[in-house]
Amino acid sequence: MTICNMAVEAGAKNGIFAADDKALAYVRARTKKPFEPLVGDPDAPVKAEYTYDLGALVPCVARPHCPDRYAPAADCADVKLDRAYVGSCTGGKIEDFEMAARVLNGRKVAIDTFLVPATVEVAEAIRTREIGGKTWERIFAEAGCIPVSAPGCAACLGGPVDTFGRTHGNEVVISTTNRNFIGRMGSKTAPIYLASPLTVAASAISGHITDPREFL
Amino acid sequence: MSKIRSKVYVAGDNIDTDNIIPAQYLNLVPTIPEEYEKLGSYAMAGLPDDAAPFVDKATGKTPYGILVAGKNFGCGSSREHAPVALGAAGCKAVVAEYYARIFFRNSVATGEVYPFETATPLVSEFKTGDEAELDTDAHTLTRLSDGKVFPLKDLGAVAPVVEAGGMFAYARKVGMIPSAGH
Repeated sequence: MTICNMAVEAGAKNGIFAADDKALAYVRARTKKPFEPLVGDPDAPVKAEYTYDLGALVPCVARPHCPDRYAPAADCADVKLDRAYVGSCTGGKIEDFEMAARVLNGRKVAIDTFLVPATVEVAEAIRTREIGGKTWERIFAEAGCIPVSAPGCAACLGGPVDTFGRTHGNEVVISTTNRNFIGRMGSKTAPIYLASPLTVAASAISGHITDPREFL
Repeated sequence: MSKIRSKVYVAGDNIDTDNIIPAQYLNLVPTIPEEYEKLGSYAMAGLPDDAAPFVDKATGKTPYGILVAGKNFGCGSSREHAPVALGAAGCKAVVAEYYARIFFRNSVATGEVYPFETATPLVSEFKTGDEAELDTDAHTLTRLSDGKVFPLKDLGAVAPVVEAGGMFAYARKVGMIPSAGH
């Protein structure tokens, strides 16, 4: 889902994946109607094919003010942060909060850390799912995060001035949201770095942009 | 409409919909006339503070009927308020190298602004405040200071839809759907 969402920022018109078992199980749990998944023809013409070695990829961030301003997280360690944000349709899913909880478990955040589940179901998972006998919600609370907000878009796109997590000044933010244009999270003077939940959680602990592998 | 004579506002590449209308104003509902006007008064309010103001604060309208931009105009969040805000401010046309697809479609669907594409980059040919004339039929943009004519790409089937005032107005006009009131 994250790749589907971000493909457009990479210049695509759309990003789609063939339905896998997980996607099919998700749909089956929500309808009794019969359905047939669409798949591409094996002989469909392909414009270009790319192969990536995922093992060779490193944690990275998108620097202000465009999602394509890529840099390895390790190269940005000198960026001091004021705020961390885990949320949005793109980076506020159940697996995203699981990643954040894994990193934050037993540690403390050094900066204001906002958590915004994408949906009611994600909020329920945060309240009930556990790591080592502790709910994610408790892990986040013990780490010193700001209490988890109600699900929604919240500050991903700025919003009205009283929006949870919205920037108002020069806050330097690291966020799992999908876009970092000028003013995107409210204030035009708040630089936004986009990153994965692992990188955001690790950076929340150290207060500057951090390659999360040192916490895993 | 075939000729639009106006001052030009010049913007750069990758003008995103948060620049065009920041999300904090999306609570304004375009179908309510007062809120439509208000939306227009915030057009391009998301540009950096050192950018030339697009809207005249006193009137809530823009003196720039034509917006000249670079690549990828209207990228970012899907937001029909973006062309609506430009149109509500009094802007008639955007002339950009190319558009993010959703903005282009929203411009056509709402009929708020003509989304013309330039045949060659034009941001260095104009500066904010220059007078220009856009001919929507001949698809040309003329710089009035020296009469230089810049060709634009033909909007084709899209032009009559924008001219009619959007997809629904066009469909009513050509009889695809019944006129309002029937």
